[in-house]
Amino acid sequence: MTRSPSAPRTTALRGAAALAATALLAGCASLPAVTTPAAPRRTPVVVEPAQAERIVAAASQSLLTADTAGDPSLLPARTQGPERDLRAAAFAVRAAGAQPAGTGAADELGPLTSMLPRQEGWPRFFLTVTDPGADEKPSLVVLRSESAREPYRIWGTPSLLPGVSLPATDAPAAGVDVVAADEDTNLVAAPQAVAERYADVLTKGGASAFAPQFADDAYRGEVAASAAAQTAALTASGGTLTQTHALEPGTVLAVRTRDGGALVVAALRWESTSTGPAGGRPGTLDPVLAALAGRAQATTATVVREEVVAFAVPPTDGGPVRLLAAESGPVSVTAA
Amino acid sequence: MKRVLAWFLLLAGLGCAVAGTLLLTVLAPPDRLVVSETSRDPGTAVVTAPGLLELTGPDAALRATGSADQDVFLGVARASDVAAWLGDTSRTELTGVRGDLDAPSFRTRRTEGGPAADPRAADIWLATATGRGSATLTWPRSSAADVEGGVVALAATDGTAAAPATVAATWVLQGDEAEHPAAVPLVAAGVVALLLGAVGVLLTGRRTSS
Repeated sequence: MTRSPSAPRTTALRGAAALAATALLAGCASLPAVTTPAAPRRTPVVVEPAQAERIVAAASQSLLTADTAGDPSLLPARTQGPERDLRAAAFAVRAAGAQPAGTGAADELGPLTSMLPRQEGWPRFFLTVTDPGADEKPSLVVLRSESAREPYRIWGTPSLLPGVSLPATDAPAAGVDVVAADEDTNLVAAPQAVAERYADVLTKGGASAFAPQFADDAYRGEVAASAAAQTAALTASGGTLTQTHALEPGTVLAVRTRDGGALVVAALRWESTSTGPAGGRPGTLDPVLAALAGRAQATTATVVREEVVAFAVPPTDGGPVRLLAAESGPVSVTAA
Repeated sequence: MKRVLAWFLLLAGLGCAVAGTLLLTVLAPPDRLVVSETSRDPGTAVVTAPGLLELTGPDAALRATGSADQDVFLGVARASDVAAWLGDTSRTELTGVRGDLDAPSFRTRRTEGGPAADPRAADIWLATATGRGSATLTWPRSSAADVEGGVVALAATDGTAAAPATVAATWVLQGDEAEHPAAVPLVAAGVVALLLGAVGVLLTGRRTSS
């Protein structure tokens, strides 16, 4: 068998074609594959800093709309708890032609900084310090979300007391650790105990066994002065005044501060009953209380106020607990 | 024999160089990966698996299309938050892509369940888009870097009605996916073989003529 002279070239051509085809087939471009992200090394923050700013802006807008309309039906969209009760009462007072004391907080919440807890599951919360409101004091705004399907709602807007400074916390992006209500690790007292003891101090004043554990503060002074003035007036006419401050169950929120202490927020219920002299003539109620009571005069009146307070709880041996912020207002009045 | 080998190198090099050039130009893979999923019964939500948005390229462009009278919602949120939002909601999960670059499709997983709630009410979203009939949202890959645990996208309508029937994602291909992996090696090998072959042919030609 003889081979033609062109055989080598044919073989070379076939070889080149086979090489190219092999390269083409072997190297077909493939689809990228999904890479599952690594599990987070720490519990993530409840919201990202930019997300927190958007949430505060949305809540602020909703609050402004509700306040402008004076419509309590608009409040549940972005408020809950004490803030909703206080605002609804203020709307009712305004509707009755009286001038509500106001919560002291701004309707337009300009966030200055936020404390974003590292927390799994729901309910969740975060704190934002905002520009001064009507009382020209910055507010510590507490926002809570009850489930993944519900928005963050403003739960409280206590105003910072004059001269106080917030304990340092980690930057918003770094997040802050949550302290459980009954956790007293490295603290002078657990957050819930702090709130309960402060309620006792508000009720009993200097006679409370817990009074030495708290630094003096302007709010406590105002409450004591108000109670003293009312007691004096009622006693002079033969009447009486009883009042109690008590922690609202399940309202304690706390985050760890950089010094190892905690920033604690809680809601208190302040109930005061004033009773005129037996057989005496009905007294004239304050216009705000009259608006909530639905009557101008009464011989007895029970006023329920809600209070939101925030404390700086120092680490063990770190000194007394400091009240940082407070707000309060009447939410209901029962008069007869 | 040396002359045959030289010609072989010359022709093979030429073929490789031409093939590589074609793969880099007219036969180059598409520069974008466009994947779409249409379902008559997607459930209340269509949700991507963690990592899918960062499949490739600098960002993922999402589009959800429902009927003309549907208010369509598209949102991106942390994966664990969306899982909490979904709960036992009926849904279609887009878990990955399959096929090839010319005709890709989503891998899907359908989960039966109940309705959810209006996604617009929730605050879990890092980015959202809404629209009548359709909504589009571009999620930059860089935005996911700071979010621990990864992010996912969710398409829905009002949280109780059926989700948008069609969800599409487009990625700009980068790296190995953006060009045929054999193209550059073919050109390089082709040029080398071509040069060696040419030298061989010249040398063997001189010897033959002398």
